[in-house]
Amino acid sequence: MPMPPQPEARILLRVRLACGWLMLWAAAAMLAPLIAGDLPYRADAGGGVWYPLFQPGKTDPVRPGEPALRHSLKKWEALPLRAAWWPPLPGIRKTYTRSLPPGSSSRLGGRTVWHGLGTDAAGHDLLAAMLHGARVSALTVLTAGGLILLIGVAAGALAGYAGDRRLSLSRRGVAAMLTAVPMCGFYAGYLRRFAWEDALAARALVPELLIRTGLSAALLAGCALLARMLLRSPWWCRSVRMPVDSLLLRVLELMQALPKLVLLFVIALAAGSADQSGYFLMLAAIALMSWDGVARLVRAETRRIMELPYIEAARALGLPPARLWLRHVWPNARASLLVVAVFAAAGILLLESALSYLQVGGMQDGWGSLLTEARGRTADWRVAIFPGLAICCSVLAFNTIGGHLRRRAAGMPGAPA
Amino acid sequence: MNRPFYSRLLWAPAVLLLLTWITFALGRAMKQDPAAASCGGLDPASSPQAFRECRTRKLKEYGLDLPVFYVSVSAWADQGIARLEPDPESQDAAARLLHRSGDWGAVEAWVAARHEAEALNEAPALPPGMAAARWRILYPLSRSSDPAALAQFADSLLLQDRLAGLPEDPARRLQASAARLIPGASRWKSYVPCIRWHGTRSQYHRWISGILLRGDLGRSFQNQDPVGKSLRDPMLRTLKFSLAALAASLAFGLLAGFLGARYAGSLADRILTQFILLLESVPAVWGATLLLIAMPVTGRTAAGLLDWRLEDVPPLLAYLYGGFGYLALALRTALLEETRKPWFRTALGKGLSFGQALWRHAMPQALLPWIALTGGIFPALVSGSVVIERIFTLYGMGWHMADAAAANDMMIVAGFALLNGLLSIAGYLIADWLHHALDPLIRYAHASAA
Repeated sequence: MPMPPQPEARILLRVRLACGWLMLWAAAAMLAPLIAGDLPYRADAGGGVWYPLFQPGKTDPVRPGEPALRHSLKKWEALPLRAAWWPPLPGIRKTYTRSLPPGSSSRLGGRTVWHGLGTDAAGHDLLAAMLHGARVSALTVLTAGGLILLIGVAAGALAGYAGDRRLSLSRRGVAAMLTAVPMCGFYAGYLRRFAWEDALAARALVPELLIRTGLSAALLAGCALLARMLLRSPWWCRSVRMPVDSLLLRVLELMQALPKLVLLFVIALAAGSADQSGYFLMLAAIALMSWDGVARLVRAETRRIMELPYIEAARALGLPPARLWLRHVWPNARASLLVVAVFAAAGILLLESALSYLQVGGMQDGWGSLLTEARGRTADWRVAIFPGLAICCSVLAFNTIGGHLRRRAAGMPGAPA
Repeated sequence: MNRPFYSRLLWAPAVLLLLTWITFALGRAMKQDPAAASCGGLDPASSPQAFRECRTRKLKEYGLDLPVFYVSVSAWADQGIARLEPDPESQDAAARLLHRSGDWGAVEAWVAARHEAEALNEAPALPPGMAAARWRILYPLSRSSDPAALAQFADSLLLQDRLAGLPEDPARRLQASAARLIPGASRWKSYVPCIRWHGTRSQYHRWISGILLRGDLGRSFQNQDPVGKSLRDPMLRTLKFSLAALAASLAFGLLAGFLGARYAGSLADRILTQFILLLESVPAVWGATLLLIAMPVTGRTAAGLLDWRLEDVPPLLAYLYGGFGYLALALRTALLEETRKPWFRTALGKGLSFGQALWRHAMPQALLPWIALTGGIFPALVSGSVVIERIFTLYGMGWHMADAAAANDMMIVAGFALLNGLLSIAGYLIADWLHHALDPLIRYAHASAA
């Protein structure tokens, strides 16, 4: 029984809806601090003008002739408020009347706020929490997704391009590497552990990272130079083939065997903290555990393309490897990468929702964390519905777009999934 | 020859070894010192010596006094700083001192002198309030790593002890040893790596040999129960749900996948496909929360594999829905792929009905890659238990692991992670073997190659 072709317009509508949702999400993530907040844009109080939203920590004394924007002697909240320009929606920090229904409004501190989705059992505004969660979840997906693409493309491209025999290193080069890498670990890692802690405490990791990179580069270069000067016999100069491809396959196999969620949970408990550094640690951990799909695809695509006749022709013309890869392999390999990237984004979002549901260190602000409050409270159905719906819509949007891209890449826009 | 299967089989031990390293490393990555935590009843301010002795005893009991791995790389000067001090902060301070001076003997003498000075706090003839006053100096002494500041603190301790009429010798010794901490001639020892071989006297060796020889996953830090025993009942509960969910996923996946391909394009198929796509997008946490709202459960589930009650249904559904849709869609897509091939048209042309051709000819073809997919489902179910059991308060393996991790009981966590990894490897190997055994193409190619 042949399948009836589905009307193309409907599929396009679905994809359009998905794109629309993603744009809405992006807009909410970008504008969240502007449209939902506890601080006014502009406050007229006690004879002065404050811009608390834009200068939240400003406490400079007034100097003669200073423009009004920099005028912020005392906390504006302590002074009688004459007029204020408030953001249209409330923020996440203040607590309002508990368990208000959607669409109701309440008054707090001279401001009437509208609770679009109501408040939860603790009195927090649900819409504000959703907007804040949108920001956190979007940042998670973008950063972790970017890291995954970076690691996956680099590893997959290297393995696919070099295979098991194309990359070779002289024996003295191998010896230099085998000496230099542990030395880098000792001098740039172990010995600088106190410098790392101090830099972490002072929030100045960049110089420390630069020092470590420079030290490692110097050690590697020094070892290579020494090997080149000292090991000159023909035995040392013979080349060894690097089994890059097999190595990657083994690593991918290992990653398949790792219980991802469990390990992330444990990493968060063992090393995570409920602040920004904990959040970025979790992002890095998520990326390090999920780049296998991208690497597998890029490796397979690169290998497939490397077999094609036009690559042979390009190679015969004497193109250098970097140009060959960039101009001839990568443009063909990246088409299917987009599909995997979109599905990977959906996977990250699901993982993030599980982690933030469990409230592990650093991930306590995502949409999933709102669901934790709803557990076992039938009366608070709104708190269970809206954040879950947001995650679900986002994942569905990613899946829809991914499916559409895959069908388009396969040349059958109308075929069902 | 079936390359994937044999290469996987050959590499499985290496992957297993790496897996034990990773899980063991995670098991050691503790925020708190379990030995110090189990001496929590002792106050380090008023009874520093008793606390130190208790910690040393506990460390020995837990086997944490041994080096972590067979081999260790550290600075030449470092001869085991962790053994000197009871708590991580003073360990860190001592390590910084050692890093600056490079003189192990000086740091050891300094720590010993400080412990001696601290032990004076436990003397019975101490004037009232004196212990607290001395601790105000001794505490920063144990946390600071600046030799100049240390010398100042030692001076003021000597002054205070002299005024209170206490013996002056400990404070004098502290002063003398502080003077030796100034970076001196042996600073180079901090910059020379030293590889030390510990052999079988290492924590990893004890852990891994316990697992290999006796199937013993070590002991919980909290109550000294064997990890294997404490995992048994929770494991039965998790297995009950995940095995049932696996069986149901396979059955539903087969049925829905076949029927979806058989009636492809019909209204029911389109509704089912959209429903599954929608289901795949529902995060497990949300689905489970909604199920819990729809049907509140008490969370007291029996640990028997076949002991099912009505309240076990929502957790089972939560376990089930992730795998089922994935399997059904994969089978449906694979089957439809087969129907586009020329031999399928030949089968239809010979007079077979669509259903017959699908069942007899397309199904065996489509099932082979599908079987390879099923290998990952069971381990995913078990690791997903961390979330689902948290939501339904089921005291299964995931809940037990999360509890243990929150209490810093990393032996249980390492045991769980290792078991889960083993399940994954076994699952993929079994799926590969089935693929190998069932696919005549691979079998014949293998036979003719041999």
